[in-house]
Amino acid sequence: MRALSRVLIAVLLLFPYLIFIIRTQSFSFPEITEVANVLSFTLTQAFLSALASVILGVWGALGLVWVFSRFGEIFVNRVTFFLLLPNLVPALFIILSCFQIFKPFPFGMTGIVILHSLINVGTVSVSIFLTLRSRFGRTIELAYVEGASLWFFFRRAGVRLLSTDLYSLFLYVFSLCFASFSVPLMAGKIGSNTLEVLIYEKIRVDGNLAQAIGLSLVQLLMLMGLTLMGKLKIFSTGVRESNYKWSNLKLLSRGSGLLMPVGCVLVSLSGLFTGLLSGIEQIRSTPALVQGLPTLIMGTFLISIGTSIFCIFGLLIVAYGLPHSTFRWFLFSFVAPSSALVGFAMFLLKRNNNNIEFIYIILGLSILILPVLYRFRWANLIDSLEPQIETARTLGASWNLIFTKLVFPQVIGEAGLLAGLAGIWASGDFAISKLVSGKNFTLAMHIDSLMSSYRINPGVTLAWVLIIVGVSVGMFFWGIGRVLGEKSYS
Amino acid sequence: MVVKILIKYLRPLGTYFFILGLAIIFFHIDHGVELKNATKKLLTVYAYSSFTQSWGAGPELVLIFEEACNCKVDLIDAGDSGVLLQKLRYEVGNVDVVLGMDQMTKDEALSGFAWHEFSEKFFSDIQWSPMLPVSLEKKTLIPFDWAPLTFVIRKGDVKPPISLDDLLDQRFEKKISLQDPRTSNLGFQFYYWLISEKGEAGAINYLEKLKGNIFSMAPSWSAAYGLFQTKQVPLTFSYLTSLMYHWQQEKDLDQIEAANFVQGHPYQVEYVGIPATSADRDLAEKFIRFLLSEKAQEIIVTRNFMLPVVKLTSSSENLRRLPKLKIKELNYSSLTAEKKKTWLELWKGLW
Repeated sequence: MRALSRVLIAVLLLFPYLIFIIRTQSFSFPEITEVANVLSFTLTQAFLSALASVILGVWGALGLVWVFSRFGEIFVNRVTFFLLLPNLVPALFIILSCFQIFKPFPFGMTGIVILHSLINVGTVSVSIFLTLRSRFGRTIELAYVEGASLWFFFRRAGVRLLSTDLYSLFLYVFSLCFASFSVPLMAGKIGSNTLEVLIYEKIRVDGNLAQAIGLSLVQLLMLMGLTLMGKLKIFSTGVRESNYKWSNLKLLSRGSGLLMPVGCVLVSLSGLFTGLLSGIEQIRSTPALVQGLPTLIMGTFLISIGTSIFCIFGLLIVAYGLPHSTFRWFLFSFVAPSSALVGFAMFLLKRNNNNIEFIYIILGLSILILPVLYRFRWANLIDSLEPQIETARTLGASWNLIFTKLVFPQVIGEAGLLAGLAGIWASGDFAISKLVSGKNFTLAMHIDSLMSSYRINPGVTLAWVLIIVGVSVGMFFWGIGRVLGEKSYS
Repeated sequence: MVVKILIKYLRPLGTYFFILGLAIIFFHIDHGVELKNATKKLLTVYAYSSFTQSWGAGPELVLIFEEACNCKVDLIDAGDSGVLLQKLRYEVGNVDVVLGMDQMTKDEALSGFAWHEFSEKFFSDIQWSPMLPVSLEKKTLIPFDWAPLTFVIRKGDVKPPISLDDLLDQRFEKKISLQDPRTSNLGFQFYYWLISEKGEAGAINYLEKLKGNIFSMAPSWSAAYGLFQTKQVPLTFSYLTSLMYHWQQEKDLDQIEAANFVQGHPYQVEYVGIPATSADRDLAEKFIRFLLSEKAQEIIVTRNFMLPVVKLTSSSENLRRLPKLKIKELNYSSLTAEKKKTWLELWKGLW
């Protein structure tokens, strides 16, 4: 059964590649000279963006510790969802907001790193904050009692305790930036050429799907190489154990840390405030702009909840299939093909099944987000359970018993959180949805259409509705994870 | 046992399963209209995104046509013209009308697919607009709207350019937003305009000089126009007819103007055609004939913000107010896929 679960996940993730290879009957790698320059730029921008996001994210996490110690659990949860918002709204809104604030905008590598950091710092801060609570255990309390300073603690213990988590987060942001499309084009120097742009060019200009797949495989190999490097250097020394007694993090509390992620979110979303009133006015004068709004809201719920549910099951199947070193390495290093390719694959798979096309969209989104979620937090959580699993196996427990009594109760809360994040992210998708479906049935698709026909401000207004829908699904799944976690102990 | 576990863990999800169920019902109501009209003939039309939206020309045109033909038209949003053709490769058998190819994708469309050829009779009573810059050399893809391309400028922010060379002036430093030719057809139009005016080497040389004046080269028209609308830049490359949007929708008559270049302007023509595999070519022909009627063309002008391809007996005030730009004759028929690729490589080498 465990082997089957691993095969199931591997086939699911490789699905877009399989569809293309079956349908196009071929794939080919483009010439090295064509890829080499593109690759060096793509790698550099992704590396620097990931590095900046993780460093700023650590500082932001200390700010969240401060919020937690001052205002408690409920308030910190609200702040957490606020920090995730930049991942929800279309990138163009964030780009326009930044252009308005940073004058003159530092186009080039600096511009790309700034924009990517603005988008990702909030999410990274949240993840590090949640990790700090469980990872530092008694070490931090001892350090506090002994009077260690924040820097001393970080130098001597913190970095080592967090090394695997920070590397996971680095890879998480790296893979997102590696596949970034609009940001390098608009914020980079003119003519910036990333692998994602090249893939898009292969599909759109050359109509060469075979080479687009080849490029996507290059992307996959790059990330696999990077993971392998990390595996050799860090996984061998990192500490994986976690402690589910929340640590006393007073030593880490830094109010100034909050400025970083909150500032990033405010800058990212400032454009959503400036066009709001004008957007409402335009919608009032042209009601056709929001025709079918209830359907769009329900469609967004459909995609968002569907992806969340799919991801919960996907993550649990992954948890069931672990520990397994090759599977773990595969998941950690796997990067889904670009959204354009996944969308096209789902379009090919759909054929004439228009009445259930939402299923293909949910499937495509889940294929894209599952490896991201795994790298984001799931990998380290499952790894931290390994010592317990080993003990249970030694005592003769079956895999089924281990999963239901040991693994499930400890991971379901996190699965809820990650599924919620997947739901938030899915609600903002238009790229895959538009490739698969010929009709706008989600808010994000509608917003994209509004922006493609001069109506940027009505798009801004609807983005607020999108945020409400996305966040409500996210918060619900986070809550549901906790409830299920508590129930499973009962 | 299994049921017990399911009830235990799935009960808290009840509310959202309820919403999910409701959402699926909504989705089917929205997508399942054809079931209700199963007895009527079905015409499947592939079009680009802004044409198909509730505020665009498509839905209104479809409504009028459906009443007249007693048929059902399924208007599919197939993305921009580049993506549209890629999708068509796999669905051509199910499509009756394809709407939205332009000069940049016409060659690819003609070489990649078999198209129904219209008879002379089809065109017999069409009064083509004398302004339309193209003739019907092949009777497979028919123009249904068009617009000259120019720089749209916010009045007062900067003195409008009068020629391509004037765009190199220092007063435009970091003030122009363009579209990337790799990802946008309009971006390629600008590039092709330069090549036609100045030759390959001249175009590259020109772009080298223009570099300092470009604020951003956006991946799409909407992103470039977004920069203009949010006042990041005072001028952007767009359609002359963009002015009509601001006049009509924002009642803004004095803020926006269009550059008028002495050497003339390129233009975008949008084409419609019937794949040879269409199951109902008669009905498809009727639809296109309707698209070329005066009534439909008026809707295209006011909702799609493009110029008509046929003579209109009474044109709208906004249409009359548009400045008359000199049209530059560009040889779009020489624009093969191979050449496009070569020029894009040259373009990439520049940066």
